[in-house]
Amino acid sequence: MRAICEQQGLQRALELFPATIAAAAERGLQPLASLPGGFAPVTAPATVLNTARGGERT
Amino acid sequence: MSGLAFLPLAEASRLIASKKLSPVEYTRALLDRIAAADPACNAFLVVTAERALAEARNAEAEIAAGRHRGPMHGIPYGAKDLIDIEGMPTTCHSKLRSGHRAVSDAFVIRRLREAGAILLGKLALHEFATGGPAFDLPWPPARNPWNLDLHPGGSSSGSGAAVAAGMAPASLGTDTGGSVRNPATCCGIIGLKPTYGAISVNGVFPLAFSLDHVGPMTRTVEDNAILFQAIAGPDPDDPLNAQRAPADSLAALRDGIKGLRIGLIEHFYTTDAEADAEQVRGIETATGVLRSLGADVRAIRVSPLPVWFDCNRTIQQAEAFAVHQADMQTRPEDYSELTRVRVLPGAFISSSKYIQAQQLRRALCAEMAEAMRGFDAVVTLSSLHMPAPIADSAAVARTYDRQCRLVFNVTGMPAISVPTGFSAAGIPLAMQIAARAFSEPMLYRVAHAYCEAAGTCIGTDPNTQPRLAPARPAAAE
Repeated sequence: MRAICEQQGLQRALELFPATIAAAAERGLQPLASLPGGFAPVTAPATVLNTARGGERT
Repeated sequence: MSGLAFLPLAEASRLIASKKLSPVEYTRALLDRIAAADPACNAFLVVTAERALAEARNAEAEIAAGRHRGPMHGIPYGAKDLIDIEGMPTTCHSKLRSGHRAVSDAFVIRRLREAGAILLGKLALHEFATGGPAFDLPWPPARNPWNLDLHPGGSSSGSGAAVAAGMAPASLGTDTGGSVRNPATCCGIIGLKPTYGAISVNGVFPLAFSLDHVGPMTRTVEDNAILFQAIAGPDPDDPLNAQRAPADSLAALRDGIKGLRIGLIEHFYTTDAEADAEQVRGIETATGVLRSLGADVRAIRVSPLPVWFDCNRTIQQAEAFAVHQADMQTRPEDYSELTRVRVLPGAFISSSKYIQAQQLRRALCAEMAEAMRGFDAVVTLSSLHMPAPIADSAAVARTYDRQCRLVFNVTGMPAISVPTGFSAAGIPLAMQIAARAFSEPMLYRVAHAYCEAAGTCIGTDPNTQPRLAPARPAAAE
């Protein structure tokens, strides 16, 4: 957590608000959970949202 | 003319066009209402009274000279204070924005200025559209006109409270994870999150660029459609804009819903998460109304609610931290604690997790499109809970993520919050109606049919209006 804070330039925030930073780290570092069946990050490209195509890729 | 404060926008517009209502008289009535009601509600951060009266006089003179610009001409409104208005500070309800002055109007403000609308002032929000309700900010949080001890929903808190309390017939809010629809739900008004890209976000302080929307908030569905038509459309200066003119949302407003097929996403609130019994009763009654109007309402299934949360929150936190990183590095103490709590997780989200969330978003969009095949619209709950006491930070924190709204920020589909009645304690209940991208006319058609039949909107009858009082003491048993 401390290393990521330094990388992100958040030393001051860590010093002033250690409990908030600890909670933020716990939340942010959690992996995506409960993925839908058949979802494969390797084969599903991340694209820009295009609502004109029902959320499909641009 | 009496009762101007709660006059629907559409009715005021017709009266102004026919010169039976003076924009100056109307604006004065609303400024009087603000003076009387806002000390209790804290909806406005600033009231632009002189400017409003000058704009009203201009509108009156133009209309008298036969130059009526359209349905928003002479109509007062308020804007959430993260929307730029030339020459005014855009505070974002934050100490960090001290000394700011906007150098130009946001696209939506420019459109309303061109339409002849009248700015009443700028409205309270959660700090930077995320950190609230908070008491460690330069201004107090807005309060719920139905019970001043309760949270009015956020982050467009002032936009919801002002419209519900009769201080403005319309307001502008923004919605990244439900921030138009939450105050609409809590305050008993109509709030639209439009299709992603349908309304320009140019000149609007971002929370999370790939999820942000500007949305209209009003007391009736017709009023909402009028405001949407006025602000939607192409903006070449906004790279996120869809660059297409909106379909006419008013033409089919009164076509009814007989024969329409409506999907009901029930599992969000029956199995995925625990919901307040009164909110559930509200949507059950509402689906009965939709059926009685001739709609075919059937349950549909999509991924469980927690999956949508993971997707939305990961994207939102990562993008929001990118916006706030520099200030979080140098002056974190100037933010409210709630903003730090909600933005700082983004510092710990890896690039791979963010990209996977965007990949997941694509999968969820495809899944929703498939679930909606053969359906004209879907309905589900808005809030899973009742509004929390505003001073009870633990209760507010518990209810923050108990909602079904962010689903439609993930898909980019338009979604609208409509009131479904009241709890036993007299607090508004609500549901959402959503439709395919750029199907706002269908959305308004279903919402209008429902609201006309159910009679759940705030109107000119005082019995339908909030009473601007704290909770009544409990009666002795």
